[in-house]
Amino acid sequence: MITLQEATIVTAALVFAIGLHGVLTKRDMIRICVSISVMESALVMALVGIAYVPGGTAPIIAEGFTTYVDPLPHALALTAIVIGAGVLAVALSLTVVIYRHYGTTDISRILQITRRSS
Amino acid sequence: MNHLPVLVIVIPLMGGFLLSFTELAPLPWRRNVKRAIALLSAFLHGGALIAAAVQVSSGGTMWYFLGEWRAPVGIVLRIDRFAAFFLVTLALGHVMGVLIRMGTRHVTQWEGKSAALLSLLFAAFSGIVVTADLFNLYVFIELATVTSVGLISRKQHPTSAVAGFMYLLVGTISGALLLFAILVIYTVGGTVTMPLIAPAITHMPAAMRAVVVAAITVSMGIKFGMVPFHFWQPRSYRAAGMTAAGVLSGFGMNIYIYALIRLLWEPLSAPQTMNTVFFILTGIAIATIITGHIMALWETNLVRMLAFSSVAHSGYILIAISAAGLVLHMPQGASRATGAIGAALFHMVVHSIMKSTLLWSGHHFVFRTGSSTMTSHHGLGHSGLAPAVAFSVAALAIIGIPPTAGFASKWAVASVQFHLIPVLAIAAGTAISLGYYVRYFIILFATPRENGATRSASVGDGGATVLLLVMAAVLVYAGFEEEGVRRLLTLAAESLIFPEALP
Repeated sequence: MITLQEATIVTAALVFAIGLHGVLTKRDMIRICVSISVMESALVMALVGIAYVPGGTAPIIAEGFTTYVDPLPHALALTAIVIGAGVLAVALSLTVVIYRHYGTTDISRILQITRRSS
Repeated sequence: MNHLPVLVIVIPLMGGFLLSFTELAPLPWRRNVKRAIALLSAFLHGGALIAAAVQVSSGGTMWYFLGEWRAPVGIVLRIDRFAAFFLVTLALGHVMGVLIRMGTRHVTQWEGKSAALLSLLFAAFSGIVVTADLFNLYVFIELATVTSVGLISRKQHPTSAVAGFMYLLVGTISGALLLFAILVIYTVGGTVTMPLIAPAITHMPAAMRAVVVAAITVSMGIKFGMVPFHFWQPRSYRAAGMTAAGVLSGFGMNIYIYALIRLLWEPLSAPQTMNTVFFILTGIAIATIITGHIMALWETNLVRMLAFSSVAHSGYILIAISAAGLVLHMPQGASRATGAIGAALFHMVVHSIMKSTLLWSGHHFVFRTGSSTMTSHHGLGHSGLAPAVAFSVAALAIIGIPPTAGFASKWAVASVQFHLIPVLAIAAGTAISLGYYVRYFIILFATPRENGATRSASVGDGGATVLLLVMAAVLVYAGFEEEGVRRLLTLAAESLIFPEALP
C-alpha cells in the first residue's frame, strides 16, 4: 500500500508536470507566470512530503514527544517560497512593461514583432 | 576563525545594498557617490578574493562553518585550490567590469540600478563558488538569475524587457530542475552538505542517479548555453548591452560550468559511478561547438555573433570536461583527468579574457554608429587605434591563431582528447570561426567609410583604453607562458580530483 509520504511526492510530481507543461506550451505571459508558480509550489509540496515522519510532531524538544518530523526540508521550503515569490514578482512586472508597449501578453506575437523590428 | 570565505560574499552584497540607495543622493553628487561605492566594493571584493586564493594556495583548503554550526546541520563554505582559481577570475571580472564602466562616456551606464545589480551578481557568483551546501548553491544561482534579469532588462526598452522575461523563464526551469535534483539527493543521502553526500550516493539506484545527473546537466547547461538550450543567449546579450554582456559571457558562463563540474565530481561522483554520461556529454559538446560556430557565421549582428561564439566555446570547455570523466578509468587515469580538467580551466580563463575584450572593445564600434549591425561598421577600424588593436588581438586569439593564448588553450583541449572526432570538431570550429572573424575584419579595415557621421569615441580614452590593451597583451603573453599557466591550473585541478575531507 502506498504511504502518505509517497502519495505526497507522486502528487507533487504530477503538479510539477502540469506546471512544466504550462511553461512550455502556453503563449500567454500571465499563464506562463501562473505555471511557474505551480511548478514552484510542487517543489514545496515535495519538500513537505520528504520531511514527513509517521507519527512525528513539530521538531521542538518537549517532554512526552520522541518522534519529530525532519526540520531541514521545512527550512528549505520557506526559502524556496521566498525565492519563488521574488521570481514571480519580477516576471509579472516584466509582463506589465511588455503589455504597456505591445498591447498584448501573447509571447509568440511579441517575439515576432521584436524579430521584425531588429 | 578566518572569515574570508564569508567576506567574499558579504562585501559585494553590502556594496549592492548601498548602491541601491544612491538614487536617494542629491542629483549633482549621485554619479560620483555611485562611482565611489562601486569602486570601493569592487576593489575590496577583489582584494578579499585574491587574499583567499593566496591563503588557500599556501595553506590548503579553507573551511568555514556559518554560526559555528558544523555539518550536516549548518551551512559549510569551502575554498580549495579549484575554487580559488575561479575566485581569482571573479576578482578580475568585478574590478575590470567596474573600470570599463567608468571608462566609457556612456552616461546611461551610471543611471538606474545597474551598478547595484553588477555588485549583487558578483556576490551571487562568489557564493556559488565557495558554498559546499547544495541548497545554498540553489539560493545563489537564483540570486544570480534575478540579478542577470535586472542587467538584461535595465535599459527600459521593451525589447530588453522581452529578453529579460525569456531569460527568467529559462532560468526558472533551470532552477526547478536543480531543486528537484537536490530533493532526490537529500532523500537518499540525508544531507545537503556536498562532501558528505558522495558515500551515500553509491546506494542510489542507477536509474535514479541517471535522472539526477541529467537534471543537473540540463539545469547548468541552460545557464551556460549548451546546445540545444542556448537560444536565450543572443537575445539576452544584445539586450544587456556590451559592458554587461562582457561580464555575463566572460565570467558568468564559467561559474555555471564550475557548478556543473563540482556537482558531477563531488556529490554525484559521476566519473566513478556513471561513466556513460561523459560519452553523451562529448556528443553534446561537439554539437555545441559546431552549432555555435555555424549560427555565428550566419549572424549579421556583432553582439549576437559574439554570443553564438560563446555558445561554441562552452562546447570546447565541455569537451575537455568530458575527456576528464572518461579517462579516469584508463591507465594513469587520475593524472590524465587532472590534465584534462587543467585544459578546461585554461580555456575558461582565456575565453573570459578574449570574450570580455571583444565585447568591451567592440562597444567602441557600436557606440560610434549607434548600431550593432556589422555592415554599419564599414571602415571603423581606423577610427580608434586602441579598440581596434584590442579587438584584433582578441579576435586572433579566439580563432586560435598562434602564438596567442587562444591557440594554446585550444591546443591544450585538443591534446587531452583520446578520440579523433572531438579533435576534428575543434579543427572544424576553428575553420568556421576564421570565416566570420575575417568577414568582420574586412568590414572594419578593408572597406572605406561611406558615411562619415559618427559619434565621438566611447572607450577611446583614459583607463578603459589602457585596460583593453593590457588584456590584449595578456592574451599574447599567456600564449608564450603556456607551460607555467598550465602547471598552476593542474594544481587547481588536483584539488577537484583528490578532494580534502571535511574536518
